[in-house]
Amino acid sequence: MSKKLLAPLACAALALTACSAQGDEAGGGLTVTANSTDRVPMDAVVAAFREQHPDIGVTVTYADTDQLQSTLRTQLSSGTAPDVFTVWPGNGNPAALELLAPSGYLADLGDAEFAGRIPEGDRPVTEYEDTTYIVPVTYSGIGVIYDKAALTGLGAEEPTTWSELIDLCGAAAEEDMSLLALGNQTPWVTQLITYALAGTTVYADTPDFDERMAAGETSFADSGWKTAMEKYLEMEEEGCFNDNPLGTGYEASISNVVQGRSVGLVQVATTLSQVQSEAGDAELGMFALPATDDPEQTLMPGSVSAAYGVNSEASDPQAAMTFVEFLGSAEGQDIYATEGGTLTALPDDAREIDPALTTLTDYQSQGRTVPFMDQRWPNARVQQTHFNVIQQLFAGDITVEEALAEMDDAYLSE
Amino acid sequence: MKRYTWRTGVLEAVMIVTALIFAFPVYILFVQAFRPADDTGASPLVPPARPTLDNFAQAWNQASLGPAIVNSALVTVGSIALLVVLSALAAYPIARSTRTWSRVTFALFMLGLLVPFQLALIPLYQTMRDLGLLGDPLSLVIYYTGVQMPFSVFLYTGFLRGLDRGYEEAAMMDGAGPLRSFFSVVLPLLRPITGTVIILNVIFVWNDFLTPLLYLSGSGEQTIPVALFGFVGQYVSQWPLVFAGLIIGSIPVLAVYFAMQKRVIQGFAGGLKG
Amino acid sequence: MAPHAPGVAPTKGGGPPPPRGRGRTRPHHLSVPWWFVLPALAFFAFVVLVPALRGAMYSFTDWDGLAREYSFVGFDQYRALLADKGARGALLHTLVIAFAVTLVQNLVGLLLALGVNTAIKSRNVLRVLFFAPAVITPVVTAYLWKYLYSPQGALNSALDVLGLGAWAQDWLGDSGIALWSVVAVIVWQFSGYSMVIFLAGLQSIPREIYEASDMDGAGPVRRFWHIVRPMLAPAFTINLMLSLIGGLKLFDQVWVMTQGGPGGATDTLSTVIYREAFQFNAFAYSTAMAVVLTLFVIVSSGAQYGYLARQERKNA
Repeated sequence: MSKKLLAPLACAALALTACSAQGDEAGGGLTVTANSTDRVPMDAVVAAFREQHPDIGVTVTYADTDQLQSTLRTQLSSGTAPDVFTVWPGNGNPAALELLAPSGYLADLGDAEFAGRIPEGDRPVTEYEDTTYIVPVTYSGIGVIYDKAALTGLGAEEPTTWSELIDLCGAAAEEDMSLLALGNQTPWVTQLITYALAGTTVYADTPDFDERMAAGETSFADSGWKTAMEKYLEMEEEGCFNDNPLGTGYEASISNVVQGRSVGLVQVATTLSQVQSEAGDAELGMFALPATDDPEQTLMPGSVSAAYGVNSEASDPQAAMTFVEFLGSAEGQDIYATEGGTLTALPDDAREIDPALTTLTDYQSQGRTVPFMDQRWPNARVQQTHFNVIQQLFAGDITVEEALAEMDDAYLSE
Repeated sequence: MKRYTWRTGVLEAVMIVTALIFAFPVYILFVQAFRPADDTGASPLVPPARPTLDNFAQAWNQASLGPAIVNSALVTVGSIALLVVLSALAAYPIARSTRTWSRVTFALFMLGLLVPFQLALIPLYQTMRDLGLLGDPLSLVIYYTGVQMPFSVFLYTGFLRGLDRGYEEAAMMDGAGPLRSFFSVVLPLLRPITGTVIILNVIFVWNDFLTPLLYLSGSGEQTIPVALFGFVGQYVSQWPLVFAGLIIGSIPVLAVYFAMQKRVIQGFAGGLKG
Repeated sequence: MAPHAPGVAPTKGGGPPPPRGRGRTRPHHLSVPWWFVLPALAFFAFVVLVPALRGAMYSFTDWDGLAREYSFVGFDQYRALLADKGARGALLHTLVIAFAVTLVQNLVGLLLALGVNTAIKSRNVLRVLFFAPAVITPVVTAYLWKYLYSPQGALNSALDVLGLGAWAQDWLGDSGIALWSVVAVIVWQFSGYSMVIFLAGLQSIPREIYEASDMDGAGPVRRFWHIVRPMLAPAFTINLMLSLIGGLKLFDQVWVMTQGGPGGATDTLSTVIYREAFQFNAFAYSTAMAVVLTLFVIVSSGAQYGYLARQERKNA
């Protein structure tokens, strides 16, 4: 038996070395990691980049948010992170800019061509201590993505006030549909409606809410967040959502819309392409979720969504910068946004925009957007607590007061 | 053998129904994998009217399953080969000697069975980095050999303890070195349990996810679970596609299982004697 | 952990009796080459022991998993652990899962083994089939079941078709039953595993014993309880140990199906450890928890093993 083992063992060892040598050559250029949700746009960008720079090899590894954050952090702490990688803008997230930059893991991108073109409103989340560390690539917002045919089928138009919204929920229920699909089984989905509502209930009256929170002058419990959560639950009571939102995940919520069981769903704009790819020819639209009966007050959460940073210890900083500049160039941004069905983060007036996204661009140009709230939170625990308490609220396990108290505790914990 | 009475017939019916219930999820898995893209509105219970292999083809391409299978296979074969030889080797003195050192060593190995993966994860990663092994599938071979050593030693020790010494003594040639004796005499006697060791380790190594993701990131290399999950992450709501990919990824292990399942049972039977 | 305490004589049965030869004529003590264990020990120490010790060392620091520097803080992390409400909930869930899985999986496995070990014609096919789920990647089965459990998923549809529509639930979304749904998946996947081990035990029971009990007129239940069960003691030991340890350390399936939700209803020590380390930068805190989990596993499996070994000796 021993002889029979030696041969395959030797072969395996040889093959492995051959494999890794091959791997070295393929990965000898730039290493990049990106979110699997961005596979299509990133592949397209890399292809275009290689045409312009055939001498720079690029290897991209994809993983979903969860794995991405855990592997990236392990690699960073061990000094083997890729050259270019996904960084989340602002804070409040395990792989966010403000968690990585202080430890010196990110390269300074202030001299890059695109740095000057980052809109003022986005600078708080792309900069740390006045230095730009990431290239913002897509801009996204949170609103109701819906099937236009389904809405007209209800004989209605996009609701602009809270009362219209609730009425619409009833109208849909009569047709045995739910107005909004809700995938609260998937943790990151739980936050979207709170954000959409809080944009108006909190920031319309208190635009400097985040600064005041940071200074300890206010708290979640003591603010429009309470109204937002109460309205969230009110929507549930009024039958706005599909049955069993806690047993419905992100994927299933999309299916609900695609298969006509729901009219739409509250999601980030980047989900538009996902829904479209499943819905085929159906025409989709997007509107801001109203929170009050005054349409003028409505604010949409909108921020830089996908962004990339450069490893401060990249083996070839020159190549990394070239790639990142390509991501920040009009061409790179256009490819990424078109293939991914999103908006570019760096404004480009010449660009043609998906009609479904016009609401978002309108709000953006009118300055009626609010950054995604977690980007301004001081640690990752707040967001996770938010996910948790929303699920508990829906399970009826806690009250709104308790939920907000937990979020306040998390905010202060680190 | 026992007689086949009407009671046996009833039992058989009950067992078959139980098996069908057990197989229900797998049935769904296959039904969905063969479902064409335009049929997704249909009830998940009903087989597709026009089953298609499109999902499989697409999954194969999109998830780059070909190179991943090769990597998975190489890592698996390499680790299993090392595990079989080294754990059998180690089990021999442990099983045959009742001295303190033998008991302590065995206890030490068993301690390894109890440790949750998160404890050792990052320190080991840093060591691999320091040795320049990251991005090289060899790091995975080393990892799996170490991580599965306790369980393999456990299986071999149990079996060896139940094996009558008479075999070795009868067949041992005088003057042969211990290593040679081991390989030519003892190892062949271990064939039943080796089957178990192989199949159980193949299952673990093939299906492991987080470690290959961590060690091979950025090298362009993937193993099957990593490839499948990048794939699932992208096509997350297209279950037919996802399931087709999952099936493809599971085929190699299932093939080995069906080929060796007799050995598995025998191996367990042997392992129990100890 | 071996189903066999050192010092007890090995049970015979490995095969045909050894051939008579010169080896049998003198008490030949094989010199046992102790250095055989070295290569295995080397790999094991390198991959498991040393990193685990280093990891445990981190639990006495405040390392956040990312920063380049950290400092020693003594038992602070452990103190924080005791005060953490979420961690206590996770501990409870971990115990529930471990014990429920151990109980149900072994019960089902035993029943299946008893059923297969009879004269029924399909026993070979059944044996292969029941074991098959154990071979599939846990993450794959978790994804499959997540799909099956969804409110419009196959399980509720099947119940509907069978006229049991009233039993339809939000299997993973209802915080009251989510934990049990997870247990059900583990049982489905690994009952075949337990079955195979029990089968091996059953098949090692000499036929004479069955025949003797038949002559005594013992009914099937009495026969099982007084004769078969004691002889299955080693099988019980292995199965109960493996499922307890596995249940306590469970991670993949819970993470994929519920991520510990809804609202923490299915959080286990393993999921909390993972989250603390990789989502909250609290790496030192997480290793403190991992150390506690390890101690837990050691203590409970040690206790279980002690009990089972005594049972085995009683019944041998």
